[in-house]
Amino acid sequence: MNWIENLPEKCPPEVAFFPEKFKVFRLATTETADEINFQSQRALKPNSKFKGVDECVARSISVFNEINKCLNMAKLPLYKNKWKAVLEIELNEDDGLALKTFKDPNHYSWWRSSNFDANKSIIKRIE
Amino acid sequence: MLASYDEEEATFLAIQISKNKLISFLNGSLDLRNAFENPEIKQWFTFNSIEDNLIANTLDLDNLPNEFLPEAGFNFKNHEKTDDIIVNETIEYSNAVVHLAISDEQDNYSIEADDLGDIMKLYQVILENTYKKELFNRKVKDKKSYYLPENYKLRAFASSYSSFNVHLYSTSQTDLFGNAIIELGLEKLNQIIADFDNEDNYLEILRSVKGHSVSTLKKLVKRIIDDNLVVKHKWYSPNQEKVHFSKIDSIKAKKIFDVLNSSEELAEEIKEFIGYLVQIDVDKGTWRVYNLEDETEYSGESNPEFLQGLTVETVNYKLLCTETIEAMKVSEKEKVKYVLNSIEEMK
Repeated sequence: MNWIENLPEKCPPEVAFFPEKFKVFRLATTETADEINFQSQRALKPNSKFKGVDECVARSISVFNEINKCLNMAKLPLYKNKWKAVLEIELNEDDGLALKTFKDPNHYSWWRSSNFDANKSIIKRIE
Repeated sequence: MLASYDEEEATFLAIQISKNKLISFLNGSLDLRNAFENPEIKQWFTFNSIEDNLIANTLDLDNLPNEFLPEAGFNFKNHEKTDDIIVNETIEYSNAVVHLAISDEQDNYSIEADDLGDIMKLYQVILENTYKKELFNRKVKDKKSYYLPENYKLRAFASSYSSFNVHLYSTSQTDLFGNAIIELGLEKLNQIIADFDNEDNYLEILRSVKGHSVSTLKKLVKRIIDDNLVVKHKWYSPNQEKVHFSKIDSIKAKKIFDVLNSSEELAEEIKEFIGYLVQIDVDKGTWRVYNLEDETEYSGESNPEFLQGLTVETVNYKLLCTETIEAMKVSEKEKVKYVLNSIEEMK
């Protein structure tokens, strides 16, 4: 599989799974399915050190399998006015690999393949 | 609550909150904005790290400005309604709570006292040993103090329907954020009784706790198979994101039992002692050693040939022994037996 960004060795981890009609949600800074809304933390901050976060995970995209997690996060003072929309994405085998990560029971890391078509996303505006 | 963040620094906002209000928040009935806008004690704190030692500063404000407040409608709910009880108990005891439900073929909310007693005992032994093993494998400051029984022993405080459901709480040490040290054992225990498809991955998990945890797990699943029991295990701890649940019925128990049987070495616990021999009896094949690390005497058995020509009191040896727990009945204390595998003089 071809990945959208360079990944370290043994990344994605062996335990990552091929998604199949896996519906996930992600906060977006625009009300469009722009490329900027599908960047990993590493792509956004190439020189940052992420404390306690594995480099492989830093090069994945955070998604939630519950829309309420995104909507709640958008309400926090830190993020108020930052997020404009929630993107609903159906991930399939060609779109990459996914893995349940971090303590949040609804949080997944998604390693995006170059096949993924961002325009398939459904855009839900945050009121 | 995270209030601001840049690459250099994060700022968190905090309030004091009563147990009742915290329960309301965790059960999804208290809005986060309401909690911060109208705290029971009108005082807000800020801090910049979530390390063990943090310095919190009070904010000199009568009301929290809007920019520090979340928008209305942030309702936290990470568990099902049926888990409200365990979440509430966890807040009440400020520690981890376990619900261990046992049912047999009658499935009528009652259980044989022998089954109840033995399953509880086996569960507690597995938890103790997974906890100790995890602690041993981790870098923890002042590790010795965490081996205290209060950190892995559970106390029963209630029972309820849903099979015969025993409610237990932990008295383990907790940090400022509610992390209970017993979570080390509970998380590992979760893994060793979880469903598995890949036998190799499961064996890898078992290897990380090989020894008493595995040998006791074998006794537990054997008992579940023999008496056709169902054991439901649920636990939660103040800082956990969700209520953990797993179930072992006789089918799953058989699956685990088969894996355990295919790899006998998993049940062996090898113990190393370094110290001097206090007593040797070559005829009886017995020995006693003073272990320098924990300043404790241990005794055991051996092939008499291993003991010939050894020196008592004045020479330090390294002993490698197989450790087994002999008794596992409710009324009996664990009897630990050491069988000497090898002994060599320390230079």
